[in-house]
Amino acid sequence: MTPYERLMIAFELKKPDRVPVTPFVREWCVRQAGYKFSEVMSNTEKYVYSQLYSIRKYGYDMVLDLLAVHAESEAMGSVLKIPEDAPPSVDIPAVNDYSKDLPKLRIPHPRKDGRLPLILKGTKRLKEAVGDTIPVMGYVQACWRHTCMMRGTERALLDMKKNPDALKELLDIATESCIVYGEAVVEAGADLIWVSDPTSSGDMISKKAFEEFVYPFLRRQIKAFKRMGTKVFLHICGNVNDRLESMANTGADAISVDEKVDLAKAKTLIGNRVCIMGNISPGVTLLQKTPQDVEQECKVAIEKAMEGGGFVLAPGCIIPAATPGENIAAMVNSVKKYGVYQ
Amino acid sequence: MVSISKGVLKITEKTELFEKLAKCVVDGDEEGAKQLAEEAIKNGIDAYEAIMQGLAVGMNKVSELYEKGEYYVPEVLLSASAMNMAVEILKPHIKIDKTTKPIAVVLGVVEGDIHDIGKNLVKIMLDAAGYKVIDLGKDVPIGEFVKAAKENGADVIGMSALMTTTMPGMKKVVEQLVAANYREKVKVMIGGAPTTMEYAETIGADMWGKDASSAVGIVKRLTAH
Repeated sequence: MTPYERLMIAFELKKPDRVPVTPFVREWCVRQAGYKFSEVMSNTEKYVYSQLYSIRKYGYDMVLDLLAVHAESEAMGSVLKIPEDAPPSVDIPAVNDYSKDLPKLRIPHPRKDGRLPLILKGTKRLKEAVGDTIPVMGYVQACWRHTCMMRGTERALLDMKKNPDALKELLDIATESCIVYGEAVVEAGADLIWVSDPTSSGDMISKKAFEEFVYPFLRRQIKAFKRMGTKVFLHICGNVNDRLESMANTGADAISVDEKVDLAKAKTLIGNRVCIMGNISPGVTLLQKTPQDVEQECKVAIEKAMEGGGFVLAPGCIIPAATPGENIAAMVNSVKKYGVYQ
Repeated sequence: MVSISKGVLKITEKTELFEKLAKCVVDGDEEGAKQLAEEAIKNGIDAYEAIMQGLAVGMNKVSELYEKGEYYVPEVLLSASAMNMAVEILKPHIKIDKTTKPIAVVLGVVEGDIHDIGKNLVKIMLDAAGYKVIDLGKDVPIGEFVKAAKENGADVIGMSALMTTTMPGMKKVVEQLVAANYREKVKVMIGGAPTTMEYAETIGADMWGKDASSAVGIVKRLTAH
């Protein structure tokens, strides 16, 4: 069975030959290939090479485009800060004064504006290189994250209280922009889209705020992606125990969670309608522990959630660049050892 | 709203005003907090008392509500905003006591990480509890922590990281403290979503805070003699 078939079968809630394993590796691959992160921000070939080099060496089940560099927000006017060897962050948000700045916002053209064409070129190149055997993950920010990256997270959170109407107008524009960019990502060859939203967990906002400000827009975004015929997995870092069902209701094929969610609980609650992905600790286990510890944590995760299919072994978030290669190897080995379906 | 002529507040009226100030903070009522702060000054109430017995009590309640999961980040930010507006009005009227040196805490989000909401919440809580906070901001170069701790004679360094990729910066700060022979002079606390007590122990920090609401208690414990 190819990695592509394996992942697609799991996303369809069925049993592949074994549990697919998808370490979320971006800066990790960049370092494996000997580059600095700032180099791949402007050189597609180097990024593509880092992905191909790493997957061939470690044999996991998915390649990733140059994700989560706020390219959509940058294309709409936010200014990024790009460190030499770390992913960028938003330095100056685009939207300061709602009344002045909202009317100026335009939906970026994916093939013309900002860094978007460069990232899409990478997605296309990845697909050409791996063909039908390995799935290509294309990344699109969740609309709420995109909103935070255009407004500044703290201000956006305060807007929930002080400027809810203006905030919703910005969310509406953000959602539309995510859909337009997502279409281009699919066209470039992505087999699945990763929608991630680190700012909408129960560590940040109440369930009520999630239902009012995040869910309707996120659902619209994900439904639009589904209509394009692509697979979608939704990742929200942090404690999402009280909103797992809403996450499943967005229409995503898979829900990806971190260590704050118990996989067995997620499987029971929503495992009958979405694929579950998770939840090996990147910051503690993968970065700092031994391959034996990694194997043990993977074994527990697999045992909790593999039954009946519809499970992908993944980390709780992006894997740090300094993570030892042996630990990624241990993660990959664990699915072969404990995750084979009879 | 209390409206009494200058300087004739009875103790019960003063208490009532403090309670109202606290409530404005809890409710995130910015206008109410501003009006009450002005009222306090007009009535000759000690500004420091109004902050500590009114605003700080309110913020403490907010911290409890946050810890209990009744308040989330937007609610805390709104309360902090109400508190800060009242503090702005009261601050110029504080009579400074130069005899005692306040406990100083250096705070910052480590290099490469711009997620500063948690750190800002910690600052709000520590400010409200009367500590002197030296806020280095976000994306703070590793060397700045040791430098700021020395320059300010800080008692505690508080660091946060919100990304698994930037967490290792906290370890580097502890290593620099050791290298500079300064580790014994200052306590180290860390926090941020991907961190754990276990992580704090492995990097040689003294304490880990689960969330912003635990910061005041931790600083109190770390600096108790």
